[in-house]
Amino acid sequence: MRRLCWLGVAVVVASSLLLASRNPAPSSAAGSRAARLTSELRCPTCQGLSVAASPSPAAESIRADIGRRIANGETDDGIRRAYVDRYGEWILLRPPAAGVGSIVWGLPAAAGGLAAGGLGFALWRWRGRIGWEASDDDRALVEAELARSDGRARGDA
Amino acid sequence: MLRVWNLSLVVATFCLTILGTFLTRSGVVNSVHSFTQSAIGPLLLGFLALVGLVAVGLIAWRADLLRSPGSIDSPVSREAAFLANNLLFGAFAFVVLLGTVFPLLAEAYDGRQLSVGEPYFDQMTMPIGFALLFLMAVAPALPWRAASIEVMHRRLAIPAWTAAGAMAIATFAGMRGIAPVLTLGLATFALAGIGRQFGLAAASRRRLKNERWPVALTGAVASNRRLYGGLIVHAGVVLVAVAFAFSSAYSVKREARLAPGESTTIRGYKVTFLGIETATGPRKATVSARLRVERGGRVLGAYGPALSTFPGSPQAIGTPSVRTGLAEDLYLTLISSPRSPDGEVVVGMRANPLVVWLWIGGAVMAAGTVVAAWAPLRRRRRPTEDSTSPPVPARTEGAGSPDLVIPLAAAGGSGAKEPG
Repeated sequence: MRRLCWLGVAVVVASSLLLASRNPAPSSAAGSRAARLTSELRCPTCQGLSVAASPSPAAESIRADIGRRIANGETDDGIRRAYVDRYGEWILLRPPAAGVGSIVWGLPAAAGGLAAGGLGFALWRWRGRIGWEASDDDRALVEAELARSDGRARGDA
Repeated sequence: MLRVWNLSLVVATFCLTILGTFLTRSGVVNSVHSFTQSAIGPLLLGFLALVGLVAVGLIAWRADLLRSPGSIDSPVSREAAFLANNLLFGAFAFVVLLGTVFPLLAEAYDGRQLSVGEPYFDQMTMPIGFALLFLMAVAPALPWRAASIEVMHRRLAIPAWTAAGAMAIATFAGMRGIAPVLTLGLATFALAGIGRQFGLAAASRRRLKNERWPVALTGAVASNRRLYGGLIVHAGVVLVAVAFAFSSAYSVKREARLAPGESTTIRGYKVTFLGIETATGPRKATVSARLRVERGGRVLGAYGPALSTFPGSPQAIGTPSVRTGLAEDLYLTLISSPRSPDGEVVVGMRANPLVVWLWIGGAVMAAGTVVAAWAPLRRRRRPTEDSTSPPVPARTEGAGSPDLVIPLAAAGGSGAKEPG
């Protein structure tokens, strides 16, 4: 029965996520593509702002250019490549996962894996030391405390 | 428990704030806050080194005194949840630190200029955020020391079904996107768990003392302010997470070129450009666009996003105008001002759902902190001492079932949520 309950939760959650991932809004629509691409490119004249967030004339002209490129049927990768060719990798706010850029992606994953592994190992080792059982003294102590708190509660009421 | 951890985290937090200040103020990282001409950089770096060395030295020297005698007995226990929580927050901080300093390191390494921005941080921190939300839902239901499957089933089944139901209803109603739907599910899971704990505590008190619901609820909170204050803080974090996920996933943005009298629409709002107003002073010249916002035929008000120019500065500074609502905020910006008084303006519009809930969530967190901090200081009782009894949690299945009370009584503590 217990197993059935959690299986039911898993099925409902998985079906909901599957449904949620289907037809993910209009992500392929031109406006959404433009919004995604402009948020991934750095405004060349600002201090750390994306093209999407910047009100500068340079960002405005890049937004217009990206709109034109999408209308001309260019792919997302093609548009990114065109901007990297013009400005260098610096223009990408999502650093490339190759070369030295792989460190910024790989290091957190490696550290996370190590931490999870370490946590699992430590808990597994500590688990062997449980041997914890409430003694009769413990139970008597708890009963006494509960009786006392009940008595107090009745007294208060 | 985890005292060395806690102290190390406190020290790391302080050191990282100094590092952040150093990175921005010294001009090492390109920032609007940098004071590249000042000598504050080396001073901050020296201070950071001093704080780091002294703190690490002190912790290393006194670690034996901080270490608590107990250990974590089971991976399914509240102690283990605290440890996992520390690791997750540590991972979060590591990602932010790495992303922030990586461009500097890459440039120092081989002279390549790289940028690390919002898309990287979003992608890397989102899984950590989900794990934290999950932990926030499960951890308060975990007893100290060890949990049995039966206890976990009893405490989590209803919240889990509530969460699954919320996800199913949302997706059948047309909600799309894995991140917001998963956030909604985890948030409902956490909130249902919190609600269950409050409900059980109030019901138990009501049964015992024959009080009315509000009185019983207040009394239950007052009986263990640290626990319930902590749960209120959790509820605030959940609200912030939902607001963050929804405003990121479902915001719409567009720009429109409008002549006086013309209208445009964005997600059901009709925005009409009425005209411009100019104000010229000795320090700045401001042009603002008068915009009327309507929805469903009802006028919501007039708004005036503006652009100001300052003598000697080529770039205009924008001042947005915001309509705040419980369900959605509408941001209006003036992107370009007209060349003639009756010329066209370019208006930027952005509808962001649930943004105000970031503030409400923050207020709930602050309220929870006040409730928890209000708690009287507990005196640690020695096992031999037999004066006044420690505050025993109400006899509810959620807060005081025997599997929880035994370790608490054995530790001579209360049901307070205390990691130290």
